[in-house]
Amino acid sequence: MKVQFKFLLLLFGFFMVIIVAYSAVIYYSVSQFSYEDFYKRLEIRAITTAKINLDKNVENTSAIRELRQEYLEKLGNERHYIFSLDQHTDLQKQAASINVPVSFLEEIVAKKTANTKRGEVFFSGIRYSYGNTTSIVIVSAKNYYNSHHVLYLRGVIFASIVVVVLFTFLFSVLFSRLIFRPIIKMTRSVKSIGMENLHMRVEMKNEDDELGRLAMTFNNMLDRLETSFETQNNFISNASHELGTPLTSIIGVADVTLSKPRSQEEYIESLRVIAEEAEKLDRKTKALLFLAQTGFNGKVQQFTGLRIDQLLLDVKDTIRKIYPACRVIIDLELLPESPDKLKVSGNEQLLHLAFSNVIGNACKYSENAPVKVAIGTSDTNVVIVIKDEGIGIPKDEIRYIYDPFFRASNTRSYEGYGIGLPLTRNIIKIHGGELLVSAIENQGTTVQIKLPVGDFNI
Amino acid sequence: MQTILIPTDFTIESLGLLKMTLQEYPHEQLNIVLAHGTIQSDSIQELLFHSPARLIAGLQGSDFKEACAVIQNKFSTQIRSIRTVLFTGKTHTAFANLLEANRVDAVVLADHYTFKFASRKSIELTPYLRSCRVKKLSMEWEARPISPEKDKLAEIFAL
Repeated sequence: MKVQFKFLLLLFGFFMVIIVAYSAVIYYSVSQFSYEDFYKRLEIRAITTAKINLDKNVENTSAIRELRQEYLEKLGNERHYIFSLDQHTDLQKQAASINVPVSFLEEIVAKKTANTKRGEVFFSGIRYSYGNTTSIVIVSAKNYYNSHHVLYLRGVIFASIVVVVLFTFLFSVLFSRLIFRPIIKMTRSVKSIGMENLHMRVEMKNEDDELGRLAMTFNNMLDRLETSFETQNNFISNASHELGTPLTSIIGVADVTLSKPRSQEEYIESLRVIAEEAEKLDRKTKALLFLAQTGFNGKVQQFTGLRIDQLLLDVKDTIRKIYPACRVIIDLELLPESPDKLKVSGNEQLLHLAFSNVIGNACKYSENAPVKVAIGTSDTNVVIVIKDEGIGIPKDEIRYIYDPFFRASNTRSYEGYGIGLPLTRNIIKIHGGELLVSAIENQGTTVQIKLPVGDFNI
Repeated sequence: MQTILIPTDFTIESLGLLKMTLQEYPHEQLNIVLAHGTIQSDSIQELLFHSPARLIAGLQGSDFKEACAVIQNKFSTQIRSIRTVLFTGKTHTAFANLLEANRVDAVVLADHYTFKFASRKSIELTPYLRSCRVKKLSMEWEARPISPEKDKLAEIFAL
């Protein structure tokens, strides 16, 4: 919840800062404007007062007085102060009598006009000269606009900020929840994936956006996890089975031979059988050791440059050790002319395991009928096709062949644990390739593997 | 260097014709033209926005394209180029024009092979091929029995 909460606070804080700044700017400009405006009004009154009282020209003053009566309304608490300015004027005393700061009067003397305010009372003063007399005229009034309008504006702003705070908070909560909901959903779905159901994957709706890529990364990681788990399982099951069969033969033959006295030929025959089975055991142990090497690597999968034809020849050798009666034919008819197109970037041991699995299956389920392995390259992929003429896969069971431990209904007389194909598919997936199995029951199975062409220099 | 026109129905099985042709003339450099015929409607909209590239892309599956690439990589010295053209005419003269426009030196006739078209708008090119004036190469290509890899990329290896 922490990141979501931080996000919420951030969003809310950001909105609040904007709103408060906005309101402050509005309030400040409005009140500043009302000040300026009011001072101007006072200044006009000061000038007219000065002219009326100090100007000795009677026609002017009566005209001005008339104008003032007609067009300048009386402001609230309007007061006028006039005093002459000469060397005897005591600014301090005057300031005290009007109750304004001395600096105000000094500013009028220096700059000819000045403004100040005390609470709600605004003062505007001018220095007026007529003939050789100089006077200071000050007009003061209560700023109606400030005390009423601007005050009202302030109240409205505060009230609306309160409402906005509420709405913004609500919106921030909802929005943060909306943003984080898919992440929380993904967390929940990944939590449910454990060792028992490692084949489950995270649902991925849209591959392009960030969440889709997160889901894809999770799925890739799960692929790798599953592969390493299955590799270990595979080894253990294979080990126990493959080692068991020859041992059973040896023990059986030995027991039978020892059960009663036998002729020399019989003993020689039994020993021969035992030696043969022991040799088989030796071969199988070597092959299993190899399996173990691919599984318990412990290191990070390193991809190296491989030649697919070389790899498949190696696999053919491995298969000959495990299924010596099987004929694996490597079909180079559609091999590309340029050997550059046979390069694949991958982990040799894993790919060896994957292909051994598929070709081994082809041998096993076709009773050692010939198995054809064809290689070709398209623009982007190396294509390997393993075709057998064996028992095939029933059409309605093909969808399940990648499920761990699944064995099709027609495999009852064949041994196997249902682990090889899921493992192979994961290995191919890790290499960025595709695995496609098509089969017709009792006719045969074709496995098509595509691996991206490697981009490296040998 | 010759340009050879080979009819196709965009199934991988029909690429067997291409493979056979290449195997028959191993020492020549060839330009391959794969031809497919469709009925073109007379509507103004279709005529105005006629785009053979788009139509071909719609008919051609990704498996077919990859199978072509596999063959091209195998016979890379023999094949100088492969392109696909669409025949939308109705008359033999129109077909002759197509041959001339593509500078076709020879066409491939598959007498014993029936094309399986996926779209109802596709037409047989065999009568046009039979009556054209260009050199005709006859290929004995037959339909294969049903196999598990039918219509998948793997089929190209079984041909």
